[in-house]
Amino acid sequence: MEVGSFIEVRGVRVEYRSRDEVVIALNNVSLRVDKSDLFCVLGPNGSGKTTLLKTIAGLVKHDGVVLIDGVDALRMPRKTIAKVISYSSDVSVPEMLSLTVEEAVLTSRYPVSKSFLESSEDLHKAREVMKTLGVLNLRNRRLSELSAGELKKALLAMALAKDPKVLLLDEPDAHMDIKSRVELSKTLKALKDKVLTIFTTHDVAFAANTATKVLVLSNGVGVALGNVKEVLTENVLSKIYGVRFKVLNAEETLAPIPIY
Amino acid sequence: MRKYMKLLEDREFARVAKVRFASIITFFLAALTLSSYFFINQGHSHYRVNRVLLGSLSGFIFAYSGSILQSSLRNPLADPYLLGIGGGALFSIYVYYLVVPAPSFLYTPLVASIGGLLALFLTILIAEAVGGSDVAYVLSGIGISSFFSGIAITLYYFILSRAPHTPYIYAMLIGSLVDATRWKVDFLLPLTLALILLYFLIAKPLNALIIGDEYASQLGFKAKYVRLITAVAAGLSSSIAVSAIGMIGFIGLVSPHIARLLLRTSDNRFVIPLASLTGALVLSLSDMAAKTFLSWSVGEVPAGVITSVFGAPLYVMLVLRGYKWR
Ligand SMILES: Nc1ncnc2c1ncn2[C@@H]1O[C@H](COP(=O)(O)OP(=O)(O)O)[C@@H](O)[C@H]1O
Ligand SMILES: [Mg+2]
Repeated sequence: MEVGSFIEVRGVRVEYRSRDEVVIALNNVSLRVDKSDLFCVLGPNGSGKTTLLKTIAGLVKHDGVVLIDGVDALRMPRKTIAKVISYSSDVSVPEMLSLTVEEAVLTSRYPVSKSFLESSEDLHKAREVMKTLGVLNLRNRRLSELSAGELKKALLAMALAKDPKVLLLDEPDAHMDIKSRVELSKTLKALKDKVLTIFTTHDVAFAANTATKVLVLSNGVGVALGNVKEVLTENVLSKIYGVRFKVLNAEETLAPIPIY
Repeated sequence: MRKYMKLLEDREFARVAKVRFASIITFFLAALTLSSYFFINQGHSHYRVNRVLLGSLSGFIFAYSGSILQSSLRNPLADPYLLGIGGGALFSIYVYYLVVPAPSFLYTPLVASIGGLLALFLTILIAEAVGGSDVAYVLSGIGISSFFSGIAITLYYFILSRAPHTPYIYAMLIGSLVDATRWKVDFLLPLTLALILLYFLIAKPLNALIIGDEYASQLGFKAKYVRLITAVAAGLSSSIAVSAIGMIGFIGLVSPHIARLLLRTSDNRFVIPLASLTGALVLSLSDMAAKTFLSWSVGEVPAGVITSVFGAPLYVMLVLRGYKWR
């Protein structure tokens, strides 16, 4: 069996303690993602999408278990997890200290590269990923100077450069122009059989035309789980977002649109 | 297309050049410190040699500390003084001299470390309590620093009234290399070598931390842990340097920025060695300036005064340039 063949989440519960209240960010969430899936997590703001990705990445304290290929993730050495899993979410880098895009992409090689300074293999891999994602021309720009959409592309390159088996992407399509969004969708689909991918988004059309499976969260609880066509119906969407939806078909493209 | 490939090669070449440059200065440094140590052990311990070594080693330590603090706290304004380490160290040394009947300078590095670390952690605690932004760190640091320095200066007058002839106590306050005794170098040399070793462990984690805590964590570097190691290393080593030569400002703040400007990168694998060397050079040069150019007119001016006089404008220049250098 190959590494990163499937991920299981069983009865996960996450609580955050802020000043005087306890926020239950995830409550008894379970799911299974196989390598052949392209898995999308949907839900309104604050429904627990980011927390779910962080839980799978082992970045937050949680009850319940996360299994990677059937093995409890907590039992796995941090170094192994760092090689296998990429978790990618927004960053804000202080301008005076910012690395360039290429330098940042090269940091992604740290868990897999043994040498103190990067090898030519590291450099080669970084260049290749940047080229695929169309950020090679940005490689000498500092992260802090990038536009929000450019930063998203750089972040994806940073997630991919270490050749992960599991890719956890928090809103990878946010701030992107239409063409970039379509290209991102294609990139994720091309990776489908190589990398187990879970992503979140607020763009229902992006989800409908990219993912194969969808989990819908609402207030930290999973309220719908299944194949895209089953879940992203007018009924379910209207319930999730509290806005009326119409699902149109344009050529091969599913187009769920909210009614204003 | 061919032109494009050529460009790639050039960039690659530039990277390799940087790598070599970094390795060279690192080993240069290690060799320099080691050999100077053996030199001293041979018994040729002259005052002048001690003084140059004391200046370079302290400058090295301040600049090194500034570099790692700036990256780990993601704050370009971090530096051993701004974060209160200097004030805390000074404060605890004075308390020691006031409370203990027969103070021995051999204990001052330990005493200074306690005060320096205490102040540093207070600064971090307060800054994190109000959100942990750049500004929070600066404000909290200025507060803690002024508080401890203020008490220290008060204590200074108490000590003075009791024992009017304590040049060490005065040198601490103003920052001076005049008292370049052998034991100080004996303390600082192994410390510097330890920092060079630590560099190989923390340079990469610090690069990841610049990008973000979660980003670093998913690369396998526990952010809190890296930050703690950095804080302890900077706190301890800077406090010990303060116990040797007193309060000398700006070196820790400015040297890392000079290194970033010269290297045109923020990669800590390159910045830390060059910044440390810059610190070493600047402090020993300041000291030379202090004793050569001014001695004929007014007697010796302490090195700490020189670094402030030149460091402050340099710092303002850096800020004004706004870092548009790439
Ligand atoms: N560090 C935190 N401390 C306290 N509450 C948090 C923290 N992170 C997230 N939350 C809360 O947990 C809930 C879920 O957050 P999140 O997973 O970020 O939602 P989403 O990504 O779906 O918008 C929200 O109510 C949010 O306010
Ligand atoms: Mg979110």
